[in-house]
Amino acid sequence: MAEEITYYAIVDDYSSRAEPAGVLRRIKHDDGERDETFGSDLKWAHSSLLYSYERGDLENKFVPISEEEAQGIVERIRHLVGGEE
Amino acid sequence: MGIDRLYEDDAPDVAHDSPTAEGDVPTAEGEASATVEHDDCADSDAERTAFNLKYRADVEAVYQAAWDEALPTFEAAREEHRRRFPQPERSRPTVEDDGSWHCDGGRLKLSSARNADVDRGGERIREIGKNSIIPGMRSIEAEDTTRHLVGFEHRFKEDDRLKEKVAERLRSKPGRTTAEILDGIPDAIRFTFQYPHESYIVGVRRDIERLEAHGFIQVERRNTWTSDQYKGINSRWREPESDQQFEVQFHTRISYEAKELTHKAYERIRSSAEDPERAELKEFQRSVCAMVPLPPGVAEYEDFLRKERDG
Repeated sequence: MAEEITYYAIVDDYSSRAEPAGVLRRIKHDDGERDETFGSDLKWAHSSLLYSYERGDLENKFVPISEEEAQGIVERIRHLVGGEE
Repeated sequence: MGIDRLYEDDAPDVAHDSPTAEGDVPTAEGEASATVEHDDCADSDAERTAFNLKYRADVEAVYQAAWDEALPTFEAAREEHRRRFPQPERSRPTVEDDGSWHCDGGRLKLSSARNADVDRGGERIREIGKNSIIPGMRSIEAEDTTRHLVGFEHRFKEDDRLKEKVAERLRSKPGRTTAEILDGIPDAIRFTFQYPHESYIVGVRRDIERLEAHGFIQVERRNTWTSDQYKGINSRWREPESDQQFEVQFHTRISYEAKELTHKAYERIRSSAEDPERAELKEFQRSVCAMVPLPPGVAEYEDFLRKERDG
C-alpha cells in the first residue's frame, strides 16, 4: 500500500496552534508506522514525542494539520536555523 | 468489561437491598469468576462498613487473580519478541573531552554549554524537589492510609534520561533555550499514587483536592483510561514559589503493574524501533492494556487544562 502520512503541529506551553514549536509526521504503511520530526539539523528524523504522548506524557499537544501547513512550519524552521547560523 | 457493584460513587451508606449486591464478578475478559455475597442482616454502620470493605477486597482479589494468571503469557510474549528482534546492547551515554554529551551513537547530543546547562538545571530541580515538593507530597500521602505512593525511588528522572529528553526536544523545537526545554519537562520530578480498584476515582478526586489545598497549582490532567496503549490518569503541577513543574500519576495496582510490564517495550519504541518491530510492540501493549480492568466511574472523569500562557 502507499504510505499514508499524517502531519501534526507540536504545541506546548511556549507555543500556540498559530505558531507551533515544531512539526511531526506519522508515516503508516503495510509493515507498521514510524514518527519523524523536522529538526534543527534540517532533516526529518525519528522522534518519540507522539508516542510518549500516547503513553500519557503531558508535555506536548499534537494538532493534525495539512501537508501545506506542515511545509509552512518546515520553512519557518529553515529560516530560523538559517538565521542562527 | 464491567462489574455490578454496590457503590458506584463509593458512598458508605448505600442501601442494603441493592439489586446488585450479589453477583458474579467478571474478569477483565468478561468471564464470571467469583461471587460476592451480600449479608442482608447487616444493619449497623459497623456491619455496613465491614461489608463494604470486604466487598471491595473481594473485587480487588478477583481482578488481581485474573491479572496474575495472564502475566506468564505476557512475559512469554515479551521473551518471544526479544528472541525475534534481538536488541543490541545500547551504548552508554558519554561525555567527551570538550564537555559535550553524546547518546545512541551520536543520534542525540548536547554541546558542552548545553550539557552544563542541563547539569545545573537538574541540580536546581532536585533541590526544589527535596526542599518543597517531596515534603508536600509526603504530607499529602500521610492523610489517607488506603492508598500510597509507589515507585518513589524514581521520583527524579535520571541525569542521562533527562539529557536524552532535552536533546530530542532541542532538535524538534528549534529556537528554544535549554532553560525553556527543561521547564517544559514535567516528569523531571514525578510521583505515582496507587489506589484500590473500587475506590480509585474517589481517591483521585480527594488527592487532587489535597494537592490544591497544599498550594500546588494544577496545570493539566489527562485521563487515558480509554486508551489502548496506556491506562491511568497523569497530571502536571507547579510548585508556586519556584514555578517548578512536577508530574503526579494516578494508578490502580494493576494499571501500575501494566505500565511497568510494558516499560521496556515503550523504551524500545521510543529509542529507535523499526516499523515491523514497533507494530508488534504496540500490539503487545494493546494486549496488556486490554487486561487492565476499568475502575468504576473512570471513563467519565474529566480532563483539565489551565491556560497558563497564551497558547
